[in-house]
Amino acid sequence: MRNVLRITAAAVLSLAISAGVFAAEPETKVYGYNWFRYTLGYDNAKEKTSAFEVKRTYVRVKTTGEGYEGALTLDYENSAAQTGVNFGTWVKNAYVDLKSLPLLVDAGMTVRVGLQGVPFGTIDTWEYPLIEKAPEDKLKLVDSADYGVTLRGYLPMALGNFEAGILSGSGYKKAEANLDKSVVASLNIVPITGIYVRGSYLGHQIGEDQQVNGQPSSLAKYADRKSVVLGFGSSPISGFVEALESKDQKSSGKSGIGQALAAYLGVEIIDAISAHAMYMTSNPDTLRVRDEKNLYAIGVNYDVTEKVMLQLNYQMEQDKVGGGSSPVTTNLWMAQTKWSW
Amino acid sequence: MKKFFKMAVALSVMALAAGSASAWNWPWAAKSENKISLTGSTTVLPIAQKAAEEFMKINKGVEVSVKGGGSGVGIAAIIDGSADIGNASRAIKAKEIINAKSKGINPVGNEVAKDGIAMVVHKSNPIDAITLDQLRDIFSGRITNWSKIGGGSGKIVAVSRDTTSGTYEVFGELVLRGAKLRDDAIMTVSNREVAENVKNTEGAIGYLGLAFLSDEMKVLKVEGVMATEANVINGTYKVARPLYMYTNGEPSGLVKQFIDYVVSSEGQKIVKEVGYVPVK
Repeated sequence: MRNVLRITAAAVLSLAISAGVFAAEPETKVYGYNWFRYTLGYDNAKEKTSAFEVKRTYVRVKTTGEGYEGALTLDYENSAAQTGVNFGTWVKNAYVDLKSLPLLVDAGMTVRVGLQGVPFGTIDTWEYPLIEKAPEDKLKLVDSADYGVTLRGYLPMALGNFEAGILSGSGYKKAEANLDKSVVASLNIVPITGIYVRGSYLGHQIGEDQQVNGQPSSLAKYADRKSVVLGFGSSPISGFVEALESKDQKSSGKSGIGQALAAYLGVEIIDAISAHAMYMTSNPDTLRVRDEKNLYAIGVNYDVTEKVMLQLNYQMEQDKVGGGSSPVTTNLWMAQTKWSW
Repeated sequence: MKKFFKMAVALSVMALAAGSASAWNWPWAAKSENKISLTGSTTVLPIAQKAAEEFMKINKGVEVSVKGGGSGVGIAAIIDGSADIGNASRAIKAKEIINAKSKGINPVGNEVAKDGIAMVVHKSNPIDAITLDQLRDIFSGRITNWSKIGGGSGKIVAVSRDTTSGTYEVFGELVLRGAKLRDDAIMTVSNREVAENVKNTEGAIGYLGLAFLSDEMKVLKVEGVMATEANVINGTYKVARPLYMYTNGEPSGLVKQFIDYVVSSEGQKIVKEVGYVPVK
């Protein structure tokens, strides 16, 4: 707990100092979210889960000044993996958008430096209409945030936008020890109102960073990740279909190629109530048998007040689907409040 | 692989069909025909409030609710459907257009007024005209003496609106253009306070809305053009911006009636009354 307080105090102090350095009177907003969740789970081995948890708390600070915008997100995570400590604390975002760089400013482009969301697939646009994570996050194909530098801009006539950059490849929960970097690029096109297509690529050449200081490294995480998202919106419905492909190193009995397909649909029923559904099927390795997984999730969101949303979700996960004996099926019933402040 | 391909095609066809369908609504979610809501820019707020009052007097039984929050809030309200009209003192950004279009929203900016900002100096000041670059240099502190631009030899006293005002926002965007406001600028909370400071301080230069000009100060030409309503309307005066009421698609029904009222001769009288420049 003391560490949590120390990190918070240090972050707030550093933000206040940076605000003073950048401009005389920047505009600063402090806000955040808190998720309180109850999970009831059981699988076909009759193992049960019944847990209350404050799953996450985000404290966000955004500062806008002349020619820049800075953001900091502290992520207080209540993880079962934490022993003896109630909450793990991560700095999830700590970046500055440089908006008035010569040559780029006239083209409406910005450079984002620091710890930032990874612009890939749906991971940086997923607003948790369901309690479950975005497909690539759920499959652990891409980290939701990473250290690096990205260039961000728009296509002419607001036809779309793009992001491209270099990231550490280690994710936000690890200090970087690898030598190689990841490259990421995303292009989002909105050809007509109500339809968008986003293609993303994230590549990390596994090579030099197999060894760090002469020792084998376990940090070589990425090879290639590709995503194509076809999204749509036409009030009161919205959704997307996403195809994912991952390519890792080949090994005995493994092709190194994984595939996944996800579909999400959301429907506003009345102003305060909406219904959501997601289906995902994934094959982590095309050569291995019985490693396929299916996920079915449905949920209802109710805006209890302007700042408090109640989410009720049911999801079923089927593991080892590809033939043979019956798959392992896990059923989860979840109720969660999201409090925005 | 075949299974994935077939599923991807089937789901994509469904997505395209859904996305290209016209917007519809559940029967129980139909909006009242007698109510409209406006939210957004605090700059546009006085126009919206006064126009709403008058519109409700003319149209008995109609309810027009008006909220502030800023231009970003107004445009976001159109995108998420929480308001019928989003007020904005700036044009919609590329990021907002892309977000809106992705969600099937087609934002349309209806210009209802213009906001012109005049540059004023003390009556004794010999200069009559100034350029945008000179203004930026004065208000960012690069030029501190009138002698640098042929205005005598006194120290320049810069008078600014506070940074939360819409007038400062326009000034920052059109004049400062990324430069930082000088630290010794006198910050004021109203157009009237700017006028008071300029008319009582010999070396002063300030900026204020056209409605607040008087004979007690000298108005400068900017880039050779005088700050007049006519020059703001015809676009030759550069320190001006349009004010918008955004809607999802071309306005229709009661929303159209309201916007038509704001741009009518009666509505434009309100625009003038609250200190802005009519579009007609």
